[in-house]
Amino acid sequence: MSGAAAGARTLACRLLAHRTVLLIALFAAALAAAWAAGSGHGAALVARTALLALAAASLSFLIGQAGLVSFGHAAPLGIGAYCVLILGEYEVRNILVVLPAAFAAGAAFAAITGLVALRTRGIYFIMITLAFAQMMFYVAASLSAFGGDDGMAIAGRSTFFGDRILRTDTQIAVWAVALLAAGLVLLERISASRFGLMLRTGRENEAKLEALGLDPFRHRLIALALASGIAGVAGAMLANQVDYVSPSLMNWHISGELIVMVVLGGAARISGAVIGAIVVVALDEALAPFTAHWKLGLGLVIVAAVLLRGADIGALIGRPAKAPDHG
Amino acid sequence: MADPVLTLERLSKSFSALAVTQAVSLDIRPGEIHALIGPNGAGKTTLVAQVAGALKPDSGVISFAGRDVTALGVAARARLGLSRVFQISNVVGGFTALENVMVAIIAAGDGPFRMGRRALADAGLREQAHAALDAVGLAGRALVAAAQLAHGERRALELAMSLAQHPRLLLLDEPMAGTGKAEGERLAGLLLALKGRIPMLLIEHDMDTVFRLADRVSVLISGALAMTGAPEAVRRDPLVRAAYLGEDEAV
Amino acid sequence: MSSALVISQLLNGLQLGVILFLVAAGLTLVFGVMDFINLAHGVQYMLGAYLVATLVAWTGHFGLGLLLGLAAALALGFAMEFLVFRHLTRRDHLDQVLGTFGVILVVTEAVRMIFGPAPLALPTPAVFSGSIALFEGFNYPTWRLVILAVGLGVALLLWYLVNRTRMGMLVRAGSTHPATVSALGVDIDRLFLCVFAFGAMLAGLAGAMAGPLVSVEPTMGDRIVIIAFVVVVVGGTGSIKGAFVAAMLIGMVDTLGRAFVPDLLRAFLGRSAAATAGPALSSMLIYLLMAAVLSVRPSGLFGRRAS
Repeated sequence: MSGAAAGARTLACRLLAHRTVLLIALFAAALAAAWAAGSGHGAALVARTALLALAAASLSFLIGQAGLVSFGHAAPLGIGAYCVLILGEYEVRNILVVLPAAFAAGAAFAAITGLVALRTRGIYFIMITLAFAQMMFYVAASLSAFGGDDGMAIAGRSTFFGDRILRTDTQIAVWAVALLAAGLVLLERISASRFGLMLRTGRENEAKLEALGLDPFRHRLIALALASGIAGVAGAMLANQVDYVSPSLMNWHISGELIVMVVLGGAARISGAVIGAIVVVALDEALAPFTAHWKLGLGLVIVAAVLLRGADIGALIGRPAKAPDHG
Repeated sequence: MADPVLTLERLSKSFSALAVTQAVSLDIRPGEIHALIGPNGAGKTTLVAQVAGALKPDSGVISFAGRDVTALGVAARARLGLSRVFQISNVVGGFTALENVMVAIIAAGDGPFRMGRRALADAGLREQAHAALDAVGLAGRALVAAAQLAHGERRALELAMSLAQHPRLLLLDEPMAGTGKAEGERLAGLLLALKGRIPMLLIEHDMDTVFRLADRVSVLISGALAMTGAPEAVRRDPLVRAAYLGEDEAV
Repeated sequence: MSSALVISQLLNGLQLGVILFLVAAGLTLVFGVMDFINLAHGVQYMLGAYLVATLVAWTGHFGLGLLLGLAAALALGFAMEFLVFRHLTRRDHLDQVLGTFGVILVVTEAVRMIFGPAPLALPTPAVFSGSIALFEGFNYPTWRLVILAVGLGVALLLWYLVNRTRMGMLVRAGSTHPATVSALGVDIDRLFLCVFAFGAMLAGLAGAMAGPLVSVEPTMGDRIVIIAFVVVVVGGTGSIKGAFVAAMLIGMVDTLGRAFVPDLLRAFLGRSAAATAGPALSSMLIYLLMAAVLSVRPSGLFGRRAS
């Protein structure tokens, strides 16, 4: 809350003290390094991390801000990916159509299932989101026209009015990092807004919020739709990156890993999910070359992290999320 | 006489065989403090829950601000201006006092769906919230987390949250419970200062407070209304003395 | 469609129902007693199948292998409760989700390391390997009837345990009035331990019974446990009766849906439209059922009413 006369220097300092800005700068630097080294693998890694981070950040908005522990966030991710596949089969590849469609499809799925899921609380909500996501998994697997169980290759990557803007790994990575930045700014902005404050109040003390005159149902439904729309966009970009879409994107293990990213990085702030995504992808990259069983390591890390956190800080989610401007 | 703010008409509620509210009728006139007293187990808490909308009565009508609100839920009644101060202080512990009041203002309808501007940096909102804190003597504690406030201060904070919503009626559920002597005195002073401006339904155990603040007193015994009258009349009533005040004097 | 087909699908539905019940029984009690969400319950189903398959191969005798396998599943249940789960019961749901998800990753991967990714064979015991002519012109696999009998037997046993024994009363009371039970001086942690290990054994039994029908592989628990969640949600947490009714309902709806919905759709839609929509709709049925039940009763068919 510094005065209006903040000079360029203080502005720069404030920006660099801002964790989100730092993280985006980190992504940009990694991308630049990969580009300079001519490493396609490096750029692809940056892109994948950024897109998983985007999906995890949207889940963090649900868990950390709204207090909604969704175990079905892989569903909108996969729905977004299927948008690319299905629209591509109908020759629709313009990214200005594909990404909004992925957002709308993810949001619509969440809005419809949310009408039922948000009537419940606690473990019911967790199980119901999981069940609806599993439903989408089976629906996708039954779409024999689109590859069924095995999935199929997309007809072509998204374009900008025919211009092939996602041809190289680097191009995809640039889009991925830009979308991550936009997503983080949007989610943090909303978290700090009146809408976000109402969400957090509903998470902390639902009875009081109702006594104050606000039933949090609509806020939660909007938050669920928004976060799922963003996950849909991330899924659409992931489909572009690997040129392939299959039901395995909606496997519940993906939902679980997204939760892992959110919690490992800290759910109190949106940017924590980005850190969590970096950690999980790094763990994958570091362990996968040595053993096919790297998930064993990931599992041990998760169990240890949960068990070792003391009971008092175990209530991470109960802690108020900080306003996202404190760096 | 002006129309009552709140009217209960033959409100009844049973839990299986137990009739906890029996045909209770009562009204609250503009500007008055109406106290509801009764021995433990008389059904005060259940009655408050029905007035607030947390519990549906089996039969009877609740009218508030000129309309039938019997079918409305907690949030809808609150939006009409029925503001409840809980028996156990109910604030968001992790938020500062200022944030708590801002939440109250927004929840009352001041743009709860706005997503653009930062809520906590909104000068107009902060000003209103500060004013509400000022009015209950918490001006210096605005940036303290609500969980760190003393018990009496949390009570005052809850009152500030209610006042910031410009309520048509305050529903006070044992505001003096658990407060120390000095704190209770301060709180009673606050309520006295509001007297005449905002009508209140005051559920209270502490008789000194009741007889000092209330314009009228209703006595609830075993779920039914035993009498309603001026404090002096209630104090002298032999039935009330036997059922209720007697136990006080015996102590 | 012939009546034989309908009857065999009905029996298949019942058989899926009892398997689901065996898995969901432990889940729902653990939810009920401790408000604890155990995603790793499917792991116990999978472990049961692996343990029994291994021990049957080792002893060369199905019954003996099954008994030893169940004992081992029970022991593993105690061990896992001691190592991990008891430390999670008083945490928030997010920690429980995370911790039990970690357990899934560890156990699934460990099994894959030990046994390899290829499915393990669990042969049907020779006496039950054929099929029985239930009536003229209708044969049904004997093993599936055995599963039905075992499942219904366990359901009866559970009904007896929960309704007629002191332990069962405590479990029932614990799932509805946890505060009262601990006020009575009952050690709720020990209760949880017993319920958890017993539930693990039931899930293991389900895995072992299903083993000869499906392939025994590291991820076999994933599919079943999510449907078991649906069962628990539909039945209402903490309710054995709810779990039984919901398991039968969902076993039936899923089996009959997959068998007949495509045919039914063909009567209304064109052949090609039905070919596309049929499988999708039939795989959605149980989730739509769940949504319908929850719309009317947010805490399930036999659940406590949310206050």
